[in-house]
Amino acid sequence: MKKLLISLALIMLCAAPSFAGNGELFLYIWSEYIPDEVVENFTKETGITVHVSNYDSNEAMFAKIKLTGEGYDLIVPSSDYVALMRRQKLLVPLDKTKLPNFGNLSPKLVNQSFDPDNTYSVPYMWGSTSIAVNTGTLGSSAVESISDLWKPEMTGRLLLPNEPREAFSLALKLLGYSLNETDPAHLEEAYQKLKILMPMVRVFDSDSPKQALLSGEVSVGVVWNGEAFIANQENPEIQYIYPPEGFSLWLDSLCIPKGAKNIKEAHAFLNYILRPDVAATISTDMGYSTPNAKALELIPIDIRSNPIVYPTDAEVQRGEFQDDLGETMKLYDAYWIKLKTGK
Amino acid sequence: MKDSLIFRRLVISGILGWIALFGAIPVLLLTGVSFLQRHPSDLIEAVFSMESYARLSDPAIGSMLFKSIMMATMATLLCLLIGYPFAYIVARANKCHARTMLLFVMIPFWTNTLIRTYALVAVLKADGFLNTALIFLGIIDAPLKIMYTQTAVFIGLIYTLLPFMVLPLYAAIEKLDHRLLEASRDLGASRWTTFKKITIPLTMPGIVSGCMLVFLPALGMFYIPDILGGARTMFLGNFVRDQFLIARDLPMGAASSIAMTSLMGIMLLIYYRNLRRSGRTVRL
Amino acid sequence: MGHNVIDIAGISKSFDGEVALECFTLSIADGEFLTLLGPSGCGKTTILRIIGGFEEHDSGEIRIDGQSATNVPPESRAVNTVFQSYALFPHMDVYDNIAFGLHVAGKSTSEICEAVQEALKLVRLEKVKHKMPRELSGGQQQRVAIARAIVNKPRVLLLDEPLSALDYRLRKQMQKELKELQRTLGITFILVTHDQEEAFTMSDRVVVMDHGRIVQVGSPRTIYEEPSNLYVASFVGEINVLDGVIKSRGECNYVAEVEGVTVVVKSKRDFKEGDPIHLLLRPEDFRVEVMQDLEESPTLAKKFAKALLKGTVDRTYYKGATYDVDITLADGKRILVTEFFDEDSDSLYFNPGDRVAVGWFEGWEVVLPHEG
Repeated sequence: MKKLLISLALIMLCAAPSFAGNGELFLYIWSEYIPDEVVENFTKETGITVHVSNYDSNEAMFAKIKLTGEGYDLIVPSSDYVALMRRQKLLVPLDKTKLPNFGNLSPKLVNQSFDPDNTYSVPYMWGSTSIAVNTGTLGSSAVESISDLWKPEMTGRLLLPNEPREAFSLALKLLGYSLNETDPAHLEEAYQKLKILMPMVRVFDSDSPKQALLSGEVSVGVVWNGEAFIANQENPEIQYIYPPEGFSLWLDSLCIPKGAKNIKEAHAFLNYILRPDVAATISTDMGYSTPNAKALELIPIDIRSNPIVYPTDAEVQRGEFQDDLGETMKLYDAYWIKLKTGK
Repeated sequence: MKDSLIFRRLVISGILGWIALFGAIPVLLLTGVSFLQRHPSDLIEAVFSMESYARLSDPAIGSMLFKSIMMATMATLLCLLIGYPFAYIVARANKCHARTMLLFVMIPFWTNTLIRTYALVAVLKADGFLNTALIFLGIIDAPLKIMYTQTAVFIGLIYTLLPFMVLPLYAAIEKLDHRLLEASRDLGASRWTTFKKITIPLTMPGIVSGCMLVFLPALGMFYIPDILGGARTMFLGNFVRDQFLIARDLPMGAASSIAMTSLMGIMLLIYYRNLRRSGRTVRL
Repeated sequence: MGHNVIDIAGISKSFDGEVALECFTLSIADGEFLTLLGPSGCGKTTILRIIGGFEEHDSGEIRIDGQSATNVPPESRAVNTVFQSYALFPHMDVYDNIAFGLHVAGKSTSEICEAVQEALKLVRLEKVKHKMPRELSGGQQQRVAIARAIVNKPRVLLLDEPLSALDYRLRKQMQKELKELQRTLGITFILVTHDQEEAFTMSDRVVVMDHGRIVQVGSPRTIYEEPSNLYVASFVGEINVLDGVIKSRGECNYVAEVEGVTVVVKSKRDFKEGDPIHLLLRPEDFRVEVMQDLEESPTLAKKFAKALLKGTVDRTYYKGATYDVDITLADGKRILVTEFFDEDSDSLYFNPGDRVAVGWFEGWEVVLPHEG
């Protein structure tokens, strides 16, 4: 018994430093997703040392957190993974009292279905995946909606993301369903629609779709807005539309995983990120859209008014965030294989 | 010398240990996982299940396997058709030239394959080097649509895998006693007949090695069809990657890998059995 | 022997600037056994390869059966080769190796079977029909190589040092077998070798070559007994070269001073007084008697009246059927003598230090103009 007590005391002693929160933070984030100066300034202001680790896919991050269960204080999952990890109780609820800057966020981006009331997540960056059109080769009115993609003259000029969910989003939106659809009958309809579209697609590319657009290999691409923005900068004839049927929105949020040791420091960092000047720096440096409404005022007017980067509220209304689909994902995968193998 | 014995034991156990740790054990783990059941959140469940293997009989998956094998076979044949004459020329050339030619074959190895594939994109795309040059020279008017076609995929595969075909072929052809070729012609065989009846059979080991070294990687290579072919077809490599990284169905990914590897193993076994049996005589 | 199966006229060949053959001219009769004899690098293999079609000559002409063979590939020539390394196809058994040429020519299976059987019988290898080359001994491999060549019934069979890899006994045996084979088949054999004994054993005619040129062509006997120059003489067998000067010309002989002694020599060649000469004698051409014996026996002395060089025995070597004697002549020249055991003579051997008189069998000497 005495031995047990002594061992317990020793463990407490060793763990004490982490409980005391003596200025350390372990940030697990997408590669090249936060400017170095932002991290350094945080350390300068607060004295907290930040250790940054990178991942390149949600799956990799998920597997790491799931299997190791500790070691990181902050992660940056996409919307569907926030939902997944939330449901699997892998996230720590946020203490909003420690986040006075939370109100800086734009209302249209908070309280989404994947994390009601933002119990677990703070929006970091967001964007959309929609249709980029080369109006130079196709004309300005050739593609104005999702249904236009099915036009016969689009054969061999189409680019789609190499992901089942994004492809299905198109078909589901076209049919008027949610892009988080789980009804097998609706999915079958979407599959039939996609079956028609498949032979018309020239390229599937999720890595660097702007390349195909810029070189003229394709005239229409379903790409995410960051790519469209760069393509548009290089070739203004390449434009980005928000179709009437709807489109998918993506949102990366900061969350605290279960097993985090430096909760106080994590909250301090979150509040720092929510500052308008910090958010503006991140957005302009990285080229993504910030969810921080106050930060918008600090962003150069030409970016702020560029619909590719910041769509209007009306347009955002037509967008939908991706949620976790649970078991239904298997169905998407099975259809995807069928589509890709032509069976 | 006791020292050399210890040293030898050390080296051998080191090598065996390495193979076991990074080769045998991962394969065993993979085989084990393939027989487990999938769990949506925990990734795998410790329950025995043949479900993954059963799903392999799905026609869509069967079609995917077939397409993968076809692509790998075509790539192998093309590499053989291109590689054999090249290896022959290098083997017959004088030592100085041969060394230079082999160096040119090896140099691409010094760069990562993925980077080289992207480099091919820069060459083949509509506004890439090839099209720009051809248009500049007036040979064509409109850019060639090579990107995102089967042709581009094969160019990529051959470019990447040709050295694996050339080097074993070169080794085999170099060993060929050219006096046998003279004897064959002396006995009345034309150059072509000599090639068919003497050169090919005697360089067969090189041909088999080359084909194996090309076929097996070609089967699993997914980034070349993805980058150069527009990812329009799902091949075995894509499928396995998707299972592991996107669908998070580890048992399925493991099962498909193991199934393919076993198939390859059986094919090789049959081939070697055949070789041994007919190794006595080569019927004219 | 009928017409010429091969006519070679003025063939020259160089490799990378080095001359391998120069103005090589030769006609080979149908059915003869001809040997090209010479040291390595003399060009004998080169001319063989040119006949076979594996090298193209730089200039000159070669005709096979009256037809020009220039630019005719090996597969189209009625010539087959037995290679020095045998060059048996390792991936085929003995039967298939031998049948190869017939197979390529499109003969029917039954024809092939019969022909191969016949060839195997000729080289006495029926039992190994289905063995692989690597399972055969050197001698067996060589016979398979021969069978493979002759089964196609070529006009000419070329043999490139075929026996060089065999041991002494086997070589001797094969020499006889090859000769017999040639007689049986009646086709022309052209053999290349550096072994003089081999050339003499088997050939009808021998061509002695040196540095790409033909030095002498003739029957083995002619080459041996009437060499045209020192090179030929010293290449084939042991030769003793004595130096001398023509003193005067007689009716059917010459008087010359050889090694300080006046002797009488016979020669068909034309010499003038004062011409320096070589006197060539084979070891077996000599007759040697111990001085002491001569003094004792007048009959012997008379025999030796015509040619008398004096010398001293250095050493004797017992060879079994013969014995060799090293003798130093009075003027210091050293000669080698081979003696058969002569029942007439009392003395069976010589002892070192014996003073001897050296003569030779009349007419056996060869007189050549002095070289250099």
